[in-house]
Amino acid sequence: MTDGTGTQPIFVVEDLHVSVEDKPILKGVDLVVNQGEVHALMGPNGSGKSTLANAIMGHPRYKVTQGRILLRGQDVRKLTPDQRARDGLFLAFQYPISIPGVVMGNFLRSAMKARRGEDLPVREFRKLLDETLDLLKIDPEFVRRYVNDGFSGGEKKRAEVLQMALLKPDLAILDETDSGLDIDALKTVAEGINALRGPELSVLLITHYQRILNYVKPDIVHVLYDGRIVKTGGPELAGELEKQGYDWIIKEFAPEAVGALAASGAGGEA
Amino acid sequence: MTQTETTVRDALNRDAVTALSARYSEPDWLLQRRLEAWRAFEAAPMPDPLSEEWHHSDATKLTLDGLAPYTPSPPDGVDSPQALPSGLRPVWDEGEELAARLIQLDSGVVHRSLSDELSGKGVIVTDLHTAVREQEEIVRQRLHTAVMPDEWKYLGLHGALWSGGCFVYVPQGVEVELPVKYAVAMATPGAALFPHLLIVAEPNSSVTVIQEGVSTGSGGLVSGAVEVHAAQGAHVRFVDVQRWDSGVQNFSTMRALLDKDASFQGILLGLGGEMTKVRLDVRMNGEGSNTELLGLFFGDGDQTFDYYTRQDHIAPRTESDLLFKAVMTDRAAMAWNGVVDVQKTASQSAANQTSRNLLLSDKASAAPTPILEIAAYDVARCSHGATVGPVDEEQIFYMQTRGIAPDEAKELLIDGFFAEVLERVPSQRLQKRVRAVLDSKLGR
Repeated sequence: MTDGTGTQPIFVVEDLHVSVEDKPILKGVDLVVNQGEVHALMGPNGSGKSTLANAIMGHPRYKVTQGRILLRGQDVRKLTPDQRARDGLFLAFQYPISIPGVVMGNFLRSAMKARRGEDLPVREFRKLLDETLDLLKIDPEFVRRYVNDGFSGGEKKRAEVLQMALLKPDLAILDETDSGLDIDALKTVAEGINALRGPELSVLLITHYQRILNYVKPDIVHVLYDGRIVKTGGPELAGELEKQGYDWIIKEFAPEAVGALAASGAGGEA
Repeated sequence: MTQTETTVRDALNRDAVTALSARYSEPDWLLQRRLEAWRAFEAAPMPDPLSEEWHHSDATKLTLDGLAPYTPSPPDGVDSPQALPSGLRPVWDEGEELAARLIQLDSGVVHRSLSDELSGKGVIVTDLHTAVREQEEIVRQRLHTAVMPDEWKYLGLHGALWSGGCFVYVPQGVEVELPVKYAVAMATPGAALFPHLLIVAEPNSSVTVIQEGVSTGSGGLVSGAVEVHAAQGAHVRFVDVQRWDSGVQNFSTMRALLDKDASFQGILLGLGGEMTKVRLDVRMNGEGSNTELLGLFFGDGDQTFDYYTRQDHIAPRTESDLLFKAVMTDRAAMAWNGVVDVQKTASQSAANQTSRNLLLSDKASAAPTPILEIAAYDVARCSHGATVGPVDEEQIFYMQTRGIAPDEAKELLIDGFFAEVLERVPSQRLQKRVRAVLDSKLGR
């Protein structure tokens, strides 16, 4: 994969190998995201999508055994998760953890202070927050609640997008932000992402289903399977997966695994 | 102010009891009760270090040697925080809007103030000796009827030697909106204090009482009692702020008796002391009465906290809820044994117990034990839960992915852990002071 524009790509993953408890999950992933692009990363369950997201953020359980992760050309592997976040990486979690006792508003302020390197004046923070809440159709009461505590599935996902909007990362990884949402919630989340994407924000959109890609048009679509990116194409690739499911991918790249995957019910969902 | 010069190191004997009673020219019935308590004290053995009850507190550390049963206070009284020894001034809560302020310095009460308005409505807030003189009948009927001197050895000592103390009386239908403050300040190292708080809330009255114990010395003994009588429809809120220095052995028995539709909220803030052993009971004698018990505990160094609570459901349709949250660091240890007893007569009652314990070091410990004893056939709801563990690494990671450094994430988590209880402390200033103590324990 090459950078066709001649400028430096915003984010590069090079030959990334990752193990969890000594079990290799990613077996050489390559990815180049140019500034402002939206990449969709698709694949059947168990292909390593969430592992890639966690490894990029530096979760201690996910060990990088080989390869590099470059943000604006800088290798982030030696950085702690918070340093990576301050440098401009962001992960919207598939299952955001609840933090009872920590008030959303305070949490957002602490996070913004960390990302910007300085405290934002209260009035400015308030204004920015209100605008973003409005954009994402989130009840302002929300900021008085504890982080993700007692949130519905849709509220959790919107809260993740809210954080992305406020922290203004250079590269946001959205890990199945579409899962568990009804169509209205999905549209709201998609609108939020569309409002924010642009030269300032590149996106790696991880999804099992094609559904969200009807609302957030990707520039490039990758298929991850068995720890490797086995196919890369334009938006039409997502359409193909929609029609045919993942079976043909599995057949093509791991014929011996068809039986096992079909038995587990993961084969024909897309 | 030097207290040591005036301290009389009375020997710990029966004469000390009669001398104390004579000092306050007490009526004979009170002297007799003190002597009875003294006999209970003498008859009771020292706690057996190997007994179940003393499993979590080191009874071998208990000693009565060199105990000063009475440490006099300055005779002229104290009318401003500046007149208190410097380290004890914060208990004055200057600027705090209070209904009444009563300050005990060592064994005697040195300050008491009550708004004219409340006084006009018949509210009484005074030291227990004055109450014996001026409200003899009420005190006689209520004193040591909820907490008994023969419950264990140190309560016998308390019953024989209590001094100072605080009496809060709220007449029928009177609602005291601002908190009543009862501060017990130990200025003399090695003193033994026996503070007694007696709250009588008549029908449909309401009151909030904040008791705060502070010391600046290098240890001592506190054996206290709190008795709450809440009549029909009365609402009593009680906050206990325990900030004794790290050499104090602190024992306290607190009991609330609730009549029909009465409610009691008890908030325990356990921060200080070397060894703290507290018993807190609520007896829901009246139908429809309800209880909420909240606790916040932060131990560091070698502090030990040992709590025994009882939620006694005696009448039908009674409800109780307990939430204790503890953070232990260094080698500190927290133990909580909590009994919910729903008696046969307490049909349609509901009870809950929740204990959350956060351990910040490998050597810190917490042992929560919820115990349900249900005799009633038709309980509305009974639940309990207890957790012990370190800070959740996944929560830390989540916060890190937002740019927040691990140390700050941990602080936010600890603040958040306490917030649930702290936010319900009925005084912003007190919340702030407690936060300051927590901060200093966290080395902030």
